[in-house]
Amino acid sequence: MSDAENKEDYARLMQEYLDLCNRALAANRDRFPYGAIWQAAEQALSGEEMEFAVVDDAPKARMRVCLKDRHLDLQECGCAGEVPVRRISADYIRRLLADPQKVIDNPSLIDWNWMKKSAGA
Amino acid sequence: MPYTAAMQQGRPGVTSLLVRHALFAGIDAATVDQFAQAGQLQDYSKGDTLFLQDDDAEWFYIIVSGWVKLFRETMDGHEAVIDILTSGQSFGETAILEDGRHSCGATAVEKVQLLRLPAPMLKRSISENNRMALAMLHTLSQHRRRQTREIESLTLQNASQRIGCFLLRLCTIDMAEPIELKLPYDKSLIAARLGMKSETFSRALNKLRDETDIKVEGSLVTIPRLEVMSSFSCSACSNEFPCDDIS
Repeated sequence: MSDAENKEDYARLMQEYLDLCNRALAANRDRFPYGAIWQAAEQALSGEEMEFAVVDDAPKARMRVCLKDRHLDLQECGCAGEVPVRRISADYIRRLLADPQKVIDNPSLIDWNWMKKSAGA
Repeated sequence: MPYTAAMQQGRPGVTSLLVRHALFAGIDAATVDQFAQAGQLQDYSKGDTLFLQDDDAEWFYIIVSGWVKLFRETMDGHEAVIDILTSGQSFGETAILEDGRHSCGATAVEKVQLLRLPAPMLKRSISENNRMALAMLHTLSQHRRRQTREIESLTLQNASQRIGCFLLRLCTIDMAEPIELKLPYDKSLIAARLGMKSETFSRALNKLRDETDIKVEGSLVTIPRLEVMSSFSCSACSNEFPCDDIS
């Protein structure tokens, strides 16, 4: 696989992960305690954009997101400079994507801890 | 369970125990004080049941001292040990994620002292206090890591690596070598915790000895080189030593 194809592959993986996160956010919006947690995170982050890197043996792709109305919006990402500290393992994403309904039913399978770190809580 | 006057006097101790826990770190003093006042210090003996799987979760717990076993009943009636926790760790609060019922049972592995806290108070705090809601991300994360670790450990690591991983969790990176450890509980329980039978455990421990030169005498383990142990044990895992899923 060429470098470009490889990069595209990881970018698609990241996009699928983001879609799954958003499906979990939407499906559990009113479910306790998830709704309360995400609402608190959204207020604490107040429009802040956060950059993530998907990592396999090395960082492969990046995305920048913003949490708004309990939805992760993909932002324009220059994706230059230092690799972001928020990293997501490609294997972990693949495992989640293997059974998306399980993740939507049980959103604690997604790593939301970045919200806490980003909010400085 | 006994709730003695002597324990009551330890209320400042209860507060300091709470603020050291990730769930209460950064939470306002009034809320922490509310939990400290409502908290009950309790002693349990080896084998005491704290709660059973599917019980309504009225309380959640922080371990003051000792070890607690979390387990699930399998379809064939056996017990699957899903975690063994010690001082400073909490359990039972994930019931909030499971419609208010405990998804596993808990028993005292040995004499244990626990701080028992009311689950409805935690629920109310999450709804009313944004800091507490954010702090629950720790619980979510702990819950997720426990689930992920179990799957990874059982599918990716061989039996010797799982024992090595268990031993590494008793180590810190700044320990002087050779590292001398005392196994925290008996080997049959460690085997159950790692999802293997006692005979498999013995064979795997022998292989681990060959691979890493560790010495095991009774409950004492000597690890000559941490790097050799981590290189062998962590090679099939997505985490590296020191593992960040300990909380």
